[in-house]
Amino acid sequence: MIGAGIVKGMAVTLRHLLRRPFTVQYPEERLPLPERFRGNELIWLVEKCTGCNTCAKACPHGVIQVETSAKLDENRYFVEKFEADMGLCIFCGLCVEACPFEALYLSREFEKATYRHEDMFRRRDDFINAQKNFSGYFYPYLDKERPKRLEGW
Amino acid sequence: MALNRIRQRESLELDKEEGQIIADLQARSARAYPDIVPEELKHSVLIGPVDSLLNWGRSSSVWPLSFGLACCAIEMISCGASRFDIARFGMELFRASPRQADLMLVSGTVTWKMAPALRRLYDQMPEPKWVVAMGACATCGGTFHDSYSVVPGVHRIVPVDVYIPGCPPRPDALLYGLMMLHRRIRKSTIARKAGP
Repeated sequence: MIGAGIVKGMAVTLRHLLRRPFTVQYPEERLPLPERFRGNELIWLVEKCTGCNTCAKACPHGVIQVETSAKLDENRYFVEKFEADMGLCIFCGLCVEACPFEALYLSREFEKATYRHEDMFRRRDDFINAQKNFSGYFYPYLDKERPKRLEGW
Repeated sequence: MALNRIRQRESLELDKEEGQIIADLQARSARAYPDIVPEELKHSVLIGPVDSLLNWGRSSSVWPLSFGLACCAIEMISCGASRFDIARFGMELFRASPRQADLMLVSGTVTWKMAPALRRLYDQMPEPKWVVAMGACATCGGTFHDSYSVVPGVHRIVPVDVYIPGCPPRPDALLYGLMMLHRRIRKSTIARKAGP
């Protein structure tokens, strides 16, 4: 029959016309993040860290630098320097997996663009003062209450 | 004429010449470009309205140059597709020619072999122009940052406006970086040069 293809095609067009819009209006609405999402930030807990340097050894890029002083702080070494270059970090999570004292976590923050190259460098005080939005990566118990599955995917 | 000359040459000579270009650029790129810090706005009565009009036009129609070098380009393409729709920001046109582009979105590893081409494309873009370094490779060199062939950060070749960390960054993170770029463009003024 002549025109059957056109009708079929227009039916597809009509179906797509009546569908919900697919686009996420990003700054206003956001996609739900996966529960073990690895955001572009490291979280370091100064009170748990012993300065054992395991994370720095595990890091494939040499991003993390740790220095301790002999000054004992509650029967632990005092971590004088804990620095990481977030521009070089690929957020593989090997440091998080390596940490024996659960002092390193990955964050759920991903809006970390900067105007200056130096701003991506995190020093000890930056880690202490940073907003801590824990990801469930390697620590699934942190993510019990979050939804298991993404909606709309 | 020129083509004949090139054909007559030995390929070894060509290699040497190309290597010399790369070595020259490598010598010139020992120091990274300083970042442009936006100063306090010094709008006079005359240039204020002109600035706001120009900046509105520039920031809402940034045309990126399609410069996908590695896996970050997949996120860039995803950003251009319907889920994250970069067209909402007036920048749906990924231009293939640098003469029609305002923004160089460097997404991926830049090698020293590619660096002269990147610099040439940047020089061919008309003013005003902006550069966004996307991902760990473009900002700092990435996994092979200490390799002989990888540029440790694209800010050694061209001045960068916005750095987006991540390996690769989510399309959301890229959109956030682009919104930061829009904010920077809206702060620029014709009283001084926008670039370095």
